[in-house]
Amino acid sequence: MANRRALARGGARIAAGVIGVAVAAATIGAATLLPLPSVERTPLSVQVRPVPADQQRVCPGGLLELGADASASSISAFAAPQRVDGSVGGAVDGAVSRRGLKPVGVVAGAADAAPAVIDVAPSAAGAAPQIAGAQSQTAAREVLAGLAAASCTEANADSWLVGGATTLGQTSLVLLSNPSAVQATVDLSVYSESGILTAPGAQGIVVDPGTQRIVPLAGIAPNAQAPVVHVESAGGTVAASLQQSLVRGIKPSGVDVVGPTAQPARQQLISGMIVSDIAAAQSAGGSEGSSSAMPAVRVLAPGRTAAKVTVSVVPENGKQVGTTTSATVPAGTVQELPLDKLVDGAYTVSVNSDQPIVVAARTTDIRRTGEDFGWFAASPRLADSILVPVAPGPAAALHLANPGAHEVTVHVPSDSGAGPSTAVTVPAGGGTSVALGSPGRTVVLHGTAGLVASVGLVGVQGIASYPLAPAGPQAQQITVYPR
Amino acid sequence: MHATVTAILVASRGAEHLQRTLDAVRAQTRAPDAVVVLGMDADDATSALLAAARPTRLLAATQRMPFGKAIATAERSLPPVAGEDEWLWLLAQDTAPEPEALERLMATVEVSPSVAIAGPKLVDWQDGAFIRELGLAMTPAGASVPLVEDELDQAQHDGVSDVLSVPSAGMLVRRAVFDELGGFDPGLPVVDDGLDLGVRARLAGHRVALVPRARVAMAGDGVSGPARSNRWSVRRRLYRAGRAAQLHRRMVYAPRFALVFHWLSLVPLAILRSIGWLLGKQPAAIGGELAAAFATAFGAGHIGEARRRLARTKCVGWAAIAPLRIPHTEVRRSRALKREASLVRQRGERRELNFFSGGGAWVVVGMAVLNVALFAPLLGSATIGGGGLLPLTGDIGSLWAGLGYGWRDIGIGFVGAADPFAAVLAVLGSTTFWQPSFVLVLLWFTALPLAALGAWFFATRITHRAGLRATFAIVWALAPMLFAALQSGRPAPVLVHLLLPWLFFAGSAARRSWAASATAALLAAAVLACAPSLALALLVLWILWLAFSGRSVMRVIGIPIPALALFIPLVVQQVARGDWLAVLADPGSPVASGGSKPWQLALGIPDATLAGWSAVADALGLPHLGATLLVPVLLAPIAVLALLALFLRGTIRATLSLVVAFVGYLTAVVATVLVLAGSGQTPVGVWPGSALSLYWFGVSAAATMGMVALGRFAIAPAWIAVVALAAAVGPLAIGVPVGTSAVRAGAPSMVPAYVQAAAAQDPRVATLRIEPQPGGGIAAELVHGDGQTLDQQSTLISTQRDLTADQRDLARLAGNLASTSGLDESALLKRFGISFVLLAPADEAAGTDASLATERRATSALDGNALFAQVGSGASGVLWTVTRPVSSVPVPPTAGAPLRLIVLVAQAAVMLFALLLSIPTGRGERGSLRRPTAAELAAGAAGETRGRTGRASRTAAGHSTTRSVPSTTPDVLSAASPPREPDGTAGARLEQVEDVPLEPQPATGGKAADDGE
Repeated sequence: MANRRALARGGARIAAGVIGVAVAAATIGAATLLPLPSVERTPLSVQVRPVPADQQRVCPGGLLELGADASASSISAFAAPQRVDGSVGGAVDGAVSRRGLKPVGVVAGAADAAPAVIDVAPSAAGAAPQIAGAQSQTAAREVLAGLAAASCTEANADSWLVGGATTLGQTSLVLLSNPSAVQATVDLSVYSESGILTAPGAQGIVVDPGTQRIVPLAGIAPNAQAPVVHVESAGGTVAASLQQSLVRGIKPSGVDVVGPTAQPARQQLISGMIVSDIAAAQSAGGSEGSSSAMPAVRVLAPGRTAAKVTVSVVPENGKQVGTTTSATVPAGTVQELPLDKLVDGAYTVSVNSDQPIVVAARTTDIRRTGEDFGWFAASPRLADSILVPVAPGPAAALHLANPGAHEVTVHVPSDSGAGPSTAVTVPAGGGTSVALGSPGRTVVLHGTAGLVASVGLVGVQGIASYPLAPAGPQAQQITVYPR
Repeated sequence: MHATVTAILVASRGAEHLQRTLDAVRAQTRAPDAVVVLGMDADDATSALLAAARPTRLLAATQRMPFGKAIATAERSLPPVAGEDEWLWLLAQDTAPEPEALERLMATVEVSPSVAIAGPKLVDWQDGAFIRELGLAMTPAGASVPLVEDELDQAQHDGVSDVLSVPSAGMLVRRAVFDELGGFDPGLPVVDDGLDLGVRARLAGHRVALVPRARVAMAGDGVSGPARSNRWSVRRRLYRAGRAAQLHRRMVYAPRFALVFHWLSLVPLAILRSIGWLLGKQPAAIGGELAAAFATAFGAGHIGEARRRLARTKCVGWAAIAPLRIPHTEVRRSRALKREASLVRQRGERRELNFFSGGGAWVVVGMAVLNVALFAPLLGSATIGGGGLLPLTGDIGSLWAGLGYGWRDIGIGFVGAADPFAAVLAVLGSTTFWQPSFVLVLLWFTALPLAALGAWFFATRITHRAGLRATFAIVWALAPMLFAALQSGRPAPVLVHLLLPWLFFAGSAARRSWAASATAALLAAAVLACAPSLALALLVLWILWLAFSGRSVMRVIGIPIPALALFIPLVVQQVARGDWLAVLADPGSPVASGGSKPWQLALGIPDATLAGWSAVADALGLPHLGATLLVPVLLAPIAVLALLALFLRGTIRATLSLVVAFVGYLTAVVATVLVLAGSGQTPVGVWPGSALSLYWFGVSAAATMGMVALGRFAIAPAWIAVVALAAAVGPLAIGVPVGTSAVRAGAPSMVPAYVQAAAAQDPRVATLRIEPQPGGGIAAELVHGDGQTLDQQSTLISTQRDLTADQRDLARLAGNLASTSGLDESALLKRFGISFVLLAPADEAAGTDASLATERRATSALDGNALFAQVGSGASGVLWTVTRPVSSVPVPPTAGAPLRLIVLVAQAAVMLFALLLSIPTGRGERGSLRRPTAAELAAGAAGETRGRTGRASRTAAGHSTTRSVPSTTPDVLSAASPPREPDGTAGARLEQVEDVPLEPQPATGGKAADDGE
């Protein structure tokens, strides 16, 4: 009797145990493997479209020439650049008010060579106006030859100029334009291949309202092969740009105006890097032992941590396979990563890093008529619509890069503006280009959200490019999570 | 003249007792001369029995009446009073006299002509050896006292003759006196009718005699006197009737001049006595106490009539009956005896836990040392911050003022219900009243020992083995979810982990003790306040518990009340918003958690970091798969032991533990899919850690039971489980020294020192804090004074579903401030009273490209805005001040009125009630309202027969000890056999036997143990 009861109890225990183990396994298994329904509340937000304000851009002005006599620190602007500007959505379509800035220390100048400020006021309806401008200039002087182009940029408290050099034959000038009504005090921090450079003259540069100050980079960073300039202003804001020119021996070998590149970020995109006549560059590099003619990406990690950088270069025609280069860039020093094995064509360069970085790319075009180089700055992603200024120059082409996962179609209006527009498809992860036709006009593009764009000019005069910044980046819609 | 006796028998529906009563009346050796039977609202069976008995007179009433009224009705049907020697014998359906009862009663009254009332000895219906009632008396203050109640009849009271009064059942009363006195007082329908009649007879110059040799068996149907039943409702009604009767008599017996004072004292006294009942752990009496007081004070009553009736017949002074009253000392003594008897029946809960000698203290000390070592870098700091840790409000006054309902000063501010967690923080903050925030530091440094302490005490409910108690305590203190909560700075889940063992400790005793029940209720409220997501789990466990609690259901059923009181305002508000789920959101500062997979939850780890092993694998360059396999292996021993418990002795206990674990696990899984709150751009899910604490509790309790069942083979598994667990949580535990923890010394101030200085002048100074979000947006938040505090946090705002107009305007202001904008912001700045704008930094390491871009955009826009001037930048961000001074916006003075007061008073009342009830009042419970059953008396009597030599020799609190075997712990049975050792050496075994401070000594082993002492 007792035996049977003990047996029954033992059986019950084993049953309980087996059931327990089974329930445990089934519960954990089911919870892990079965799709669970979920209740997910997205945080509340408001899309705030800022009240439109005046839009203002500053165009850097004509190319500057250091005094031909070696003694002079005199700087002269020998000719006015060709300029284009326009606006949409303002009080009156296309109504742009223009005024010049007074360049300080420029002894002689051609009329209209001064930097220009273009302005548009918002319409009464409250729509945000767009304004855009660009300039280009071809030089054929003793010390200055080549094609230079730049877009007119917004004055800012903080900008990065990636470009320039102060080695033998190189001349680099930092141009600081203050379009605001208050005095700006500018601090320049120059990074180079050997780290950050400190120079007394770089701090506290006063830029009076309505003027442009020109600071030769050689005074701050002599003999720097690969400088990057960080411009910070307090008080008023400044539009910064950098003019670089090269003389090999006695032969002027190119000039360019470098606009601000995109702010430090972990992903940087350069659209429309143009490589032309790569074979000539390779032979020139081989004969003169200079690698400065080879396409390269200049990278700086301004933070405190070294950046692991991956550069991928994707050709725009989509037929060739892109190349990928990896490198580690020590914190605070500039590195130029050469881009090998490229053939002629236009490329989309994307630089990914684990730390915020600033980048720009440079290529050189060596022709029988002369040599010119061009800087290709990184630019931020565009908003849905953009106003493209087509600077006068040879074969202006719009380069579009699509970092997104889906292809994007953009409609480019025809030459006259009346005919059918051209549909341009930008493949996901790649880029494309489209000729912009007759220069000296502005073109409105729609459907450009998420793309990165630049305008490239290449011809017998030389090579130049300027990035397209999103329309009024400071005035774009912003998501606010109030509490 | 020959005495005549008329027996009046009142019956209602009670056929099962009536037959015996009728037979007993018929069997009297001195038969009554007439039998009048009154059937009230009688059913057919009763009526048939009554008719079959062929009484002298058969009366029927259609409705039930009080005994006194029924007797009066029957008496009226008799012929007029013929002489002094006419007697009435008052019987009910359930009073069966023994054959000689009437003869012995008559014998007494016939020899003493002054006796007007005689009463028999009322014994138990089933077992005549037990006296149910024998005579009645009053204290000097007028409370009725039974002379003898529920005692074994050993003829010890048979010498008593003159008493103040006797119960109405079985009473023999001279009819002439009965008429002269006007019968029973209709104001005393149930209780004290006999007492009152006796008192009035005494005051009219007659005597009341007790005839102990006349025995009447009584069942307690409730026809005469109160019904005898242990049902709750009956006991509550009886208490009310008793108290009402006492108050009625007080108003009747009082001298005229004292009436006003007595009347005025009725309600205040009732309230005071209610508090006494709470402290005495008899909340059931409170309703009756108050109802009786109000009914006596404001009810129609029969007080005037009763006073006149008393005055009419009164011919001697009250002093005449003074010797018959029972002195207070005697009352106290008998109460103490009753309490002890009641404790005997409760099988004695007093048990030595041996906290110090059993190793509990060492575990706690060890955990304290470990705790201090692990958090050593935080030593010496007065505040800690990081994760969800915010400081508390600076003074405890405002800490308490924030409870209930009212102005919530978070963001723009709004009127709403406080999170129940605020109440927990108020209590917690009051412990370090000089600096409430310091309690968080204290909590972080005592979490491990406190967890071990609670767990050790709970372990005493599982096992007597010191080693296994320590194992459970360590496993509980080293739980992965506790470390995860500590390292991510979540005070609420830490508190849950500390409180859960106490909740179960108190809960397991709640069926036996009101104090434990109220403590469990308060703990449940605190646990739920810390982790509302546990509501469903605790609800399920409570329902299961109710189902198993049987007769003590009342002690369990009230446990959710304090929690409900805390949550009702919040629930009402969330439901009104149409979002009852949001009640489950975690209180406090919202902290996002990495989504844990269900299989990781099964390890007890609430986030996806594998208890820090992922980071270790990264740092050492090991494959992730290794860490993924290692952690389950290290935690496997506990799981294996828990499941093993099912196969071994104690299957049922283990099953219950694993049910707790199961419920906890399901809750944790549910928590991972509930994303209810938000902080800026980031959705914040319910943290599964609190539910995992419940899961861990069940699993480790089951594992401990498994080890208990393994007996002496448990040592190795216990060591393996503890060491492996320590290894598994190692990387997580050392988070503070190696810097992987979110918690750091010093509370990070939300606003810079400049604003803090301004806030010292004006506590309402407002700062618009703009924080760039990873997606490129901004979070905009209005900060009043020197920043947010933990107690001001509100789930109402973190789970908000719609933005208010104010919030939209604030968003518009912030969006324009962060942009180049043509908006004139001064009007909005003035409206919100904003004096400062703070741009919080987007962390360079953690910030995304988009957030960095947004930070630059906002900096540039604010720098270029003529309304602002940059003050400087620091760790908390870049600060701008508004150039034109703005006056701050005060809190609306009438915020929340009048609801605020109502909610506060209601919540305070419930909490006070629970608190008073939870205070353990020294020597166990006062004599319960419940009267013992005959079986219980018999069980008690078995022990009482020994050593009962006389009342005088007894002491109120027995010092002798009883050795009895705890029935709940089977593993002790073997060890608790009566010690055979003559002396001294018995100690080792005695440790495992409970000590009960009881007088009776039922166990045979007790004798030997006493010898040993």
